Amino acid sequence: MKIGILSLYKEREITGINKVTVGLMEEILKLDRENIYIFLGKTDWLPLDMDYIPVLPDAGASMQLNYAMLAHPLDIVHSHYRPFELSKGIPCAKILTIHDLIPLIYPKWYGNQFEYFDVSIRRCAKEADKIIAVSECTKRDITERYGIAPEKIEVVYNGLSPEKLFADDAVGKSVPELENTDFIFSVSGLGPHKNQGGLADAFMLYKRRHPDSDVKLVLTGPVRKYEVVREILSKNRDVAEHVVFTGFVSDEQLIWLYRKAKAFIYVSYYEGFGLPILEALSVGKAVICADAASMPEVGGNAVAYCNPHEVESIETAIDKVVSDAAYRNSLEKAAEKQASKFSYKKAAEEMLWIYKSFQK
Amino acid sequence: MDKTEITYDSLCGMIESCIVPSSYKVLKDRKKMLVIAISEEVRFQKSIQKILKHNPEMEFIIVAQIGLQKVLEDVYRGRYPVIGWSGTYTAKLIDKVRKESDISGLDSFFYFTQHPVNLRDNNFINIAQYLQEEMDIHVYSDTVGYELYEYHNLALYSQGIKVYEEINRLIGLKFMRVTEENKA
Repeated sequence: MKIGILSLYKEREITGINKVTVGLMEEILKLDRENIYIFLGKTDWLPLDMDYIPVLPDAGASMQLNYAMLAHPLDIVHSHYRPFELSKGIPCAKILTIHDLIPLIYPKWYGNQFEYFDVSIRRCAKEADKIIAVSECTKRDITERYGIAPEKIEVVYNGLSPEKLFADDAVGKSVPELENTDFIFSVSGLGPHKNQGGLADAFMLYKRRHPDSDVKLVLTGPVRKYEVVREILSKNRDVAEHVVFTGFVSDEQLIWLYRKAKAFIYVSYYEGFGLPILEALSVGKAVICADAASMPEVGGNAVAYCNPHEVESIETAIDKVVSDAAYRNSLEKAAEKQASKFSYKKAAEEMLWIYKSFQK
Repeated sequence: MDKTEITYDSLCGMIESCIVPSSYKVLKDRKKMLVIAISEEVRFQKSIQKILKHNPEMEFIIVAQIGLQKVLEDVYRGRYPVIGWSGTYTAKLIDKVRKESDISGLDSFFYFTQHPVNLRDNNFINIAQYLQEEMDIHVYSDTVGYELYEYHNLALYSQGIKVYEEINRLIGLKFMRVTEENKA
């Protein structure tokens, strides 16, 4: 079969969805010598050895593929994110991966993406022959919010990419100002659903209750001048003494931060999967995470849970993990075993089984 | 190679040829730039920083949604005019820009994007095309401070996209008819 792969836009630093594409396709290309895989759009920016079909520049709505499929017929088109439109009569199976439906769940925060999810992705999901959800939580959301039968949806979990970054011998690159600092670590994102404000409030509560603790909170990501950070800084005058905003860090620095941290904390209100949790588990780190959405599917019994909507609950979890070394050690022991349940090798095997189901 | 394949690839190639990777160094020859801030403030600032790195004397005229106008006025401390706009950006904003600032000497239009071809947004093409035709300006987009692209011949670019979309639509209609005939 000829299988077309559609991912997100060209990026210089491969992140998010494109990371999923790279991780998954690297394993699929190793496993599958029968089928031909072709990228929809140029591949000169991807570390993948794949041919490509030129596509029309993307305006952010659905990719229009009728013309492309007539010129370059394929047996399957699998989009890892972007919705696409392909007329029913064109003989090509359609697979769409959905990572989450966050703009539908939090329209007040993501109103500018609501229509994209409510119209473009919804239409593509309804017309797809198969939907891949990255968690049972996402599968439930697709069923409930798009009214799609669960039988049409397969769950294929994400893995780690690049795997070598999380290998046992990968120590990463230090962040010099943190080399002599005891800290718990979190990765920030841009969205309000990431609950950085709640995390900062909980951590400051922990500091007030434990004034002798030297532990700091380190937040990576694009936070420096973002509105959420301004709110955190305005609410807590001394937050800068206890919370370190690093801004963007390289992958190598990220792995160093994961390894150096006393514990990792991720108290998002909602995730479609929760990749940072998996990353932290893979390096044997004690993890505190929200007992919400997909996160328990990734954390299993190997993490300390808290209610992300309650500052007290988050603070209690921080206190227990930071103060109780035996408990923290028990989480560290369980971490890597939990992480080993997720891999792109496993995801690739599952995807190949799904592709084969379309073989004529 | 059949005709369809040549036509499709040639059309995509023609559209793509209107967007040329450029170098930030060329911006040192530009003097006055109209920039539109979409919702992402941090990335907008990153793009502006990159331009200023190569041309600290660049004069900007910034257009932003009303909610972001005050924030950017504070960020740039009155150094550049920030024109507020409500709703979808259209070519009509040029009239407001003319009223509220001095666009004489404008030689470039800039839009930042996550990827090099997002100027396919029809509203932005219309704005950029209008400026290119009326004032012979350079049109740029950048991928948040990483890579700079220049759009040449926006008239050909937008026409190419229209042709693609129309062919795509007609193919869809044809296959819809075939499907309905088969059902009958």
